Amino acid sequence: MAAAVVMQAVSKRFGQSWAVRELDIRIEAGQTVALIGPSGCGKTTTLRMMNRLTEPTSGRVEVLGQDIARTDPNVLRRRIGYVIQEVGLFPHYDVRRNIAVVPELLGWDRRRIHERVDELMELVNLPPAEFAHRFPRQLSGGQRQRVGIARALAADPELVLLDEPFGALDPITRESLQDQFLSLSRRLKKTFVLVTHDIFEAVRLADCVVLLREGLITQIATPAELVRKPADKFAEAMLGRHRYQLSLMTVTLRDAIASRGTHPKAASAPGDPAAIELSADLSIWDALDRMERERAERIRVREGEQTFLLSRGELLEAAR
Amino acid sequence: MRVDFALLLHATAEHIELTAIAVGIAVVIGVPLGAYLNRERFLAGPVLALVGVIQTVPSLALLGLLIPLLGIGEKPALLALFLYALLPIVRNTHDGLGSIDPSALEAARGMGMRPSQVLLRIALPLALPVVMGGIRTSTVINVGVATLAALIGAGGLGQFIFRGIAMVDMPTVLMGAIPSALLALVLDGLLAWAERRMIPAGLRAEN
Repeated sequence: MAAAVVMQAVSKRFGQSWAVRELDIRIEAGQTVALIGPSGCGKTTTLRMMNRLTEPTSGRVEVLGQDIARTDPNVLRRRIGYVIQEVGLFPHYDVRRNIAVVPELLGWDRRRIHERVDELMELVNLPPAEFAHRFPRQLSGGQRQRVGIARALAADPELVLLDEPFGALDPITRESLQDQFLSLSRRLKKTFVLVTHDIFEAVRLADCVVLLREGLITQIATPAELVRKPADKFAEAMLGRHRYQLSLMTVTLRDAIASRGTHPKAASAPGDPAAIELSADLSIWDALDRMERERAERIRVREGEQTFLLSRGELLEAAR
Repeated sequence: MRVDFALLLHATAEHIELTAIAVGIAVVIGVPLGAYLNRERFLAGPVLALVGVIQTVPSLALLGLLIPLLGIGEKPALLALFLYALLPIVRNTHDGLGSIDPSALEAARGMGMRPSQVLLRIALPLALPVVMGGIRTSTVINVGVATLAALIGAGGLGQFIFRGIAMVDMPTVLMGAIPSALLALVLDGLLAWAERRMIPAGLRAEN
């Protein structure tokens, strides 16, 4: 697999203090990677070195196969989507013009820009007929951030950088936007690099989590690995009291079947009214949620040729 | 009293010309200077202080000081008016650009706008209400100061005022003073109208 971003021995010093030291990161194309850590750990600096908003003190950064120190930073940035927490929409542009900024910089013709903006507005669930001519001040926080995401995707970049994109939203809006982002990131074959300090966000959205502390990487792992095997005390502290919950969120029904070795029950209970059938890709958390909502006592999971029957207790046990 | 309308019209035209040229030059020089000072922070303090000091020189004295350098007539008058117009424009441009939401500038840079594009497409339009405020202040100040230009032979409505004072003739004083006050109001109103038309819809207060 090709790498979208490769950082080699990258360090950044601000005055006397090191923001990041000797960073080595490889981000595979098509993945969603979360950079996570407490304030001041260097995660935002790391992100900003990927589009040259911050220049490394030493080391080499390669983006989409190019050593970016040798590219024109403006040309580079037009190829990379960028979303920030404060959104930074242009208040004097309506939604349509805000989204069109990068295509305009790239000199696309007007009709192509118009069509692309319509397409993107549909993608982020803002019907053009209703929203195209609104100004940022006429939008809610969640709508603004959706425009921000559409704007970042406008020129169809292969790589999108997001700096705490959902940090300023209320919890309900945040969760809804995270859901939309998740379905978006699965549908689009793009690389997303996301900065967050919210472990739940990282675990929900990312394929790979990079844990940073005081400018150093302490662990690179999939969310499931991170939850199951935190590398050190610091990683454990990041998971905090929520480790069991995070485990419910990261262990899939497939994992549960594999780890428990639950004896297969051939579709012996097709008429079992207490069982609902769920996909093996679901997390235990989602499965429990479905069981609760549909008042089911057991679930049926098809895996390959076999069908497994799992109870609530077995699911809770599998996440331990 | 008989009013010589042709003379009044001529003097008003001279007055408008002096003000417009001086403010025009002040805009052409002051806006870029303000934008430059907003980038070079360390220069902003000293330069704004210097421009401010000019503002504190009494206008009569400034005109007098310029006579040995430029003689009398339009040239020294224009220079004096320009210097008075400079401060509000430079300071408002500098402050206006400094008060923009930094996230818009960060986003503009992050999307690959060159510094000139960030300035012309984002920063200046967003700072426009404040910049226009400075231009309006300069214009009103200049209409007032331009009455003094008559003292150094640059014409304008001041001619009536000074003639009236010399002849202790109040109607003649008013013949200069009233049009000059009206002119300040009219020009300010015109600029306010232009401002409303120029300021992008997204920045207007109503929803």
